[in-house]
Amino acid sequence: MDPDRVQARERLLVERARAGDQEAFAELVRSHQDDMYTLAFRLTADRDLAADVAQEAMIRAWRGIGGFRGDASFSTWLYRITANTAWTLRARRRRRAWLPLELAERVPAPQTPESHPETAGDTEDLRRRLVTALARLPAGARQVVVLKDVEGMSHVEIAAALGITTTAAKVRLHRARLRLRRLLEEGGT
Amino acid sequence: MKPTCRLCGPLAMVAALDDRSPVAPVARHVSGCLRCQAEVARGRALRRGFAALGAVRYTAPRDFAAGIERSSGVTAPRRRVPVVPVVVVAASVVVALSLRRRLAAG
Repeated sequence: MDPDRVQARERLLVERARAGDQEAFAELVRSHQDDMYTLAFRLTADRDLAADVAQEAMIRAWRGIGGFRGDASFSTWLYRITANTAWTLRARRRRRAWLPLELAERVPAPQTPESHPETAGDTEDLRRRLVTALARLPAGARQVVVLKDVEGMSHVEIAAALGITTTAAKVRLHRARLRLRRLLEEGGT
Repeated sequence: MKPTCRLCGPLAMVAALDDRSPVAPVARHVSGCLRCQAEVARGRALRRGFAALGAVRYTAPRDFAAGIERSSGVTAPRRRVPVVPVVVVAASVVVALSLRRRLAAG
């Protein structure tokens, strides 16, 4: 569908949801739930916890949609709630994040137009190493790296999502990348 | 004299690049220095890896919309109730009732 029409439809659904239309919100949820679950999984490295995070984030979004002003896009707003919820639930459970390696291996290699047969194997290998290294990063460091380098959020968006200053977001990202680099070097990258 | 890299020091410079050439430091950094070239290659590889990671999307294990409907106490978005008008109206009603009572009592 035409991206403009998709955005217009989303705006309409958001307006209806703000007015209390649960069906409209359910439609919004269904169109974003895979992305929210993906982000939650990357932040928590735990499938069950990620599902709880996504569910809790949806409930928070439903409760808070009256205050959504539309300054950012709806998906960015949902991402912020998901990142915050992941942080809160993870701290509540105080469970050490782990990544079942067999999961990383089961995930199919992405098929993109840029995929080249000669580099596809290297990229797949690198992706697996990255998944493993990310899972070994402390939660706070993983959060900024995932939001910036994987999800492509700006420093400003990350700062807003995590409730920190932009400078703090930059510093945290710099330190996190250094740690990630050390982990990758230990892993032979 | 052995040519040096302006950005990462003398040890890693390769002779391929003429140190006297008026090449901008960044171009020199990328094209001339073995160490920096390694950094650049690693940076490119990492970006490729992150892009591959970002391209993978997981499917939600359940319908979260149904979860919201099932959640107790989640019936509608919280409305922002204007506090001041509510207080003013309530106070006015109390005053009006009080006056009426006094008038009725004579």
